[in-house]
Amino acid sequence: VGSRDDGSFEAFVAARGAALLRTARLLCREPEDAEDMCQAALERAYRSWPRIQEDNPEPYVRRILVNLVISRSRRAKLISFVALGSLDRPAPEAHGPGVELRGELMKGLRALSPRQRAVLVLRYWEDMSEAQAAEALGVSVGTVKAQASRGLARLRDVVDADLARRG
Amino acid sequence: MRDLESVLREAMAEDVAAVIPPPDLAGQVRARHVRHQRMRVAAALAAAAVIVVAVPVATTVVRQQAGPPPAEPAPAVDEVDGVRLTYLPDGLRRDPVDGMDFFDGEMTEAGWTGWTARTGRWNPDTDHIDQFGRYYGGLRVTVFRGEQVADPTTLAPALHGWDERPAEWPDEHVVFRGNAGGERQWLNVVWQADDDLVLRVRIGDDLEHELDRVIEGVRIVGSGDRLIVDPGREPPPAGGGLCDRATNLAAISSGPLPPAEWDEFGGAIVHHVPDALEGGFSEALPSRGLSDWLAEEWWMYSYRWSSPGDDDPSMLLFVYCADWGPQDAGQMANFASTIGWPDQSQPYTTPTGRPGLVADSHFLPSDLPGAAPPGRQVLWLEQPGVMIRMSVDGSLVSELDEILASVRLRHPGPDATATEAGSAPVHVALAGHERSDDLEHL
Repeated sequence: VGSRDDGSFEAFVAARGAALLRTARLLCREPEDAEDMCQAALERAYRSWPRIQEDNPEPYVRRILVNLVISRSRRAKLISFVALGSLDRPAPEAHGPGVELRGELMKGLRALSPRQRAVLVLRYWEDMSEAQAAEALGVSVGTVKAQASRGLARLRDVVDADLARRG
Repeated sequence: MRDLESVLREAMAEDVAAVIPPPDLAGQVRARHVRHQRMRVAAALAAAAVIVVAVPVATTVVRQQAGPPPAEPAPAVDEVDGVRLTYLPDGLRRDPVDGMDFFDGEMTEAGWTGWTARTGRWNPDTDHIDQFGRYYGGLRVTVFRGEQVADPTTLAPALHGWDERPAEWPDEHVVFRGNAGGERQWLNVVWQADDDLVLRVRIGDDLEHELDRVIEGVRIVGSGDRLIVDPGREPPPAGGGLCDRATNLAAISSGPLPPAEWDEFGGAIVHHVPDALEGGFSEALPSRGLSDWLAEEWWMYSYRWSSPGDDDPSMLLFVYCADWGPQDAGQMANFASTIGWPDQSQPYTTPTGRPGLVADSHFLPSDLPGAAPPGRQVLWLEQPGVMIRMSVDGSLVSELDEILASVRLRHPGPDATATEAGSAPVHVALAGHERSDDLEHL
């Protein structure tokens, strides 16, 4: 690819790789899939780098990432999926009620449907507006609103259950 | 307590605080790109020069055979879906019916998409049939085509079995080589030949010494048929049996019931479609000849009704139709096994008096364990040779009896009442989705 500037790609990955990987980890139901998804999204961006490098490529890469994760999650419905790699997952430590609640929230987040999870990640991790999230997902703003509402309702149930358990 | 959104932000930040990318992430991405690019170039070369060179992908992914490769371009021995085999072991004969793999496609809101799979089957002169009536031995070559086969990590499990994935990938292009799914009688090699083309060669263990030579003889000569949902292109099975009426299926359209032009469709019709399924009837997939699974030809029709939301309920109906199929309840077990019916199930009698099995699970395993709505599915013998499977989830479970009572074969054969368990069919007031012309068939 003639005019590809590998230097600028490396600089982009160095600067934004961690953020993209973290987003991937939040998007994936299985954290072990995050690195593979992140690499896949970056590879697709790399193919188009000469075209996208002049502008800010991050929204483009993030959009690829989100849709790759959702697409793969759908496919995984029909197949039993055993992940190969693994990221180091921090071991649970002794913690207080707030930490427990956050842990339960993350379990709840991973139990959501891929699209609901993506909407919440884009809205509350990436701080995107509803319109920005809709554009990234390729859906309407109304869908983003509905999915966010349903997702938060489920997480609210998680919080209520946690509070009830602790009296 | 603070608002949920703030706590969620904190939880996310905490969850990813320790996530650090590998030091050479950019280099890994570039290497991945080079691998894929090399693969595409190799496949393109193979397609352009099939006469004079072996398919580079095949020759690079498979260990070298002990014997010499064919010295001259071999004549075309046989083809399946745009893939030519220039070498076939002696003593095999082509099955006149290609198989369409059970795992063709995937369920999405848009229906079955993903990939097509066409399997050529070459059987030994002496049939080997196991306890479930499945062939083993001989050669199977499956051609998977479609954009979504580009991701072997997704396709691979579907190729091998529901719960098995290779522990390692021995070569950058080989998805899998070895036995799979407990099938010791088959040796499999699966490789990605292009972004939208994956090939699987399965060979009986007694022909293992021929495997590499078969693979080295593979040439990609065309783009294949790509068709999967039009059985009209296939002649109907001979014999005047129950399954002969599947020739008029022409198109997939939307609506609460299969469209009127499907009146001759040899499957089933459902007269009670719950209101919750506002997405309506969304797709149907006829499959003919289930490769490797059964020794005889059969038809399978699948229907799906869905709702727009990710979490809303769905309803799946499968009609398995084979003149040689189970004739009574006692013969259901083996058939159930071949279609992946869950082990955890109980005997059941449908509201219309048919013998069957019930399991508390939905056909589509949810990706939301713990949060998934409950599902239930029933498999029953509608009449000799015809089994029906209905799977619902979510709120539809409570309506299952009513749904089951409304299912009728479009063209019940003369043995239609042979499987009833003695009681008269339950009369069900038809819901508002029926068409008057359907009533004539009931």
